[in-house]
Amino acid sequence: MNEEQIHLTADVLSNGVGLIAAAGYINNEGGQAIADAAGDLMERGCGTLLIDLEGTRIINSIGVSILLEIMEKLLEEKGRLAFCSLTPTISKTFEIMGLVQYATIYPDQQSARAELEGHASG
Amino acid sequence: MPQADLLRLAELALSGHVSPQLSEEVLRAVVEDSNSRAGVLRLGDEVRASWPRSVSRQVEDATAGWTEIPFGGDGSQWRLRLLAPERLEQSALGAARIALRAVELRDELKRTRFDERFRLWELETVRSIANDIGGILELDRLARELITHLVTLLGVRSAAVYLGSDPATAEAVGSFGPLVLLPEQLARAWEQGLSTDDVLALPLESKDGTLGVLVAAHKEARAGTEPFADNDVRVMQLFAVQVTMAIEYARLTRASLERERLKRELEVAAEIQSHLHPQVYPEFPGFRLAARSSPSRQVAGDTYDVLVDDRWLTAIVADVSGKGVGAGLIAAGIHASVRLLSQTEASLSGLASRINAYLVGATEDNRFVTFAMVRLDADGGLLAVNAGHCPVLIRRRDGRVEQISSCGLPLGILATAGYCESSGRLEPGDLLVLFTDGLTEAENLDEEEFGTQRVEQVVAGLREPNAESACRELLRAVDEHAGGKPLQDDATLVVVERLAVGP
Repeated sequence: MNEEQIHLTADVLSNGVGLIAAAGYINNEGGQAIADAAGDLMERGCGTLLIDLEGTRIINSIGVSILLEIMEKLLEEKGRLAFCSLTPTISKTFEIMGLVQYATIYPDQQSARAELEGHASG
Repeated sequence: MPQADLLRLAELALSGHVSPQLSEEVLRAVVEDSNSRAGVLRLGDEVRASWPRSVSRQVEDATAGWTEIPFGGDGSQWRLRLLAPERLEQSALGAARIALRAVELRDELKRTRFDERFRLWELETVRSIANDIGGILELDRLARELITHLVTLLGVRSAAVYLGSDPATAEAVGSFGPLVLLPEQLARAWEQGLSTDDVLALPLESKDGTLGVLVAAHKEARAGTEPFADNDVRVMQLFAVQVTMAIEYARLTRASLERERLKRELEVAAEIQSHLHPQVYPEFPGFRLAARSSPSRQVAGDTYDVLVDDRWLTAIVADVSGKGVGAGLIAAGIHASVRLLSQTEASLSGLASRINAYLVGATEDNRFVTFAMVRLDADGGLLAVNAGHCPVLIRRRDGRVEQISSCGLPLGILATAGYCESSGRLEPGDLLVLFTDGLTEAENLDEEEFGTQRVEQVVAGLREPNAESACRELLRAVDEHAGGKPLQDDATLVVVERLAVGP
């Protein structure tokens, strides 16, 4: 896989949860691709977004700022943002940049979905 | 009603509850209050709101009747454009200005917070490099990790670490994105660094010279790329110091581990070699043996052996040119060859010729082996081959010393070399002395060699003319001559004593 490009998949899961799996460099292009996918899922009725970053090792400041914007947009809509499968470096980045204050971090997709889909339905 | 809305929005903004939609709500209220057909609100050149939302740039450009209202003040960059407004209430505009100023301050606060966190993140990233790469000794993997940190830290589209002894031969050991440095740019960066709007390249300078070059290129902006800023250069300089330390640490640690590994291997090689020499001298009735061998390094180029069967005792001493592991390997080969070939080759000269033929094909041109082999029967009958080796000495019972000199080229020089055999007899009470030039070439403080003559004198003057005494006295004399200096070459000594039958 070419790490310099972002590779995305977006799916609507059960109970209003949207899943974006992103692998590659989250820079302005990668970040925008995620933002577009997030906007699309929100329009399709997803109030909770789970962004799976397995396969992503590098994120720069612009990528972080775009993720912050996605988070703001979701919060305005009373939605919820979650991440899973973060590398320790990205986890630390999210912590410092304030993303963890409003987003939930899960170790992997399985545990995230178990909680989010269950939570959304409950 | 719209004026009331504006006042509500201004109050809301002043209370700190500023939503991202506030600018659109303000514009909408102003458009409705002024009974305009449309409105556009810009902050600098960026369109922050249009009302109705369908008003695009194309629509704006294609429509006449726009009124632009200076909407700034307090250093604000807001520009309000209204299409065909019917009225403009100053109080409404004032309320809108307050609300928009709050939006601007909110944006500024967000930017400041982001910038603060980003600086903290930069520091944390630089600080964490030591943790993340500590213990990585493979340069390829180390370079990959470093590049990941650099791309993250500077937000660039490509980065690389070049390593090598000079710019002409340096190679990119880790990279992200396309390599951007041309050879001449790499050479310049190696000497003095390179800084352009698109490329930053800094030499990795250690106390032993330049290790390589760190490159970052095409710094990302929200839309495309932007020139590197002064802070980027400072961060890169800080990073380059970290990278240099990491690479030096990895190299030094690897070198240290390699030295340790080689040391262990040499110890094993020396151990193996020491086991090639007889651990217990074989019994041959009427004869007694003593031997010493001391390598100048851990692995010696000298070897010796003593073979006994029901007819003969055969003593061999060989000295491979050079020292260390290479010489030791050849010495081990000689040792094995003699043992194997002596089972099928009856004559000493034939055995020497076969080892010579093997060595000519198996060693470098400048390698050779001096070799002496003496075969004794139970009655003291003696046959000897000396291939370029030090003379083999016979000390007679009365103290006279005779030589069996070389009768051929050292082994491994010429494939067609022939070797003759000398014959003689070792009488009861006589000693046969084989040694290597490590003994005779031992120098004193005036760089004078011990020499064969001194060997003969020591052997001749033995108070107790037996094998063990001969070894002990010879080594003592050599050590005394050298003034305690360690031997410069491997030294080996084998003495065969024919036991005296009576007084």
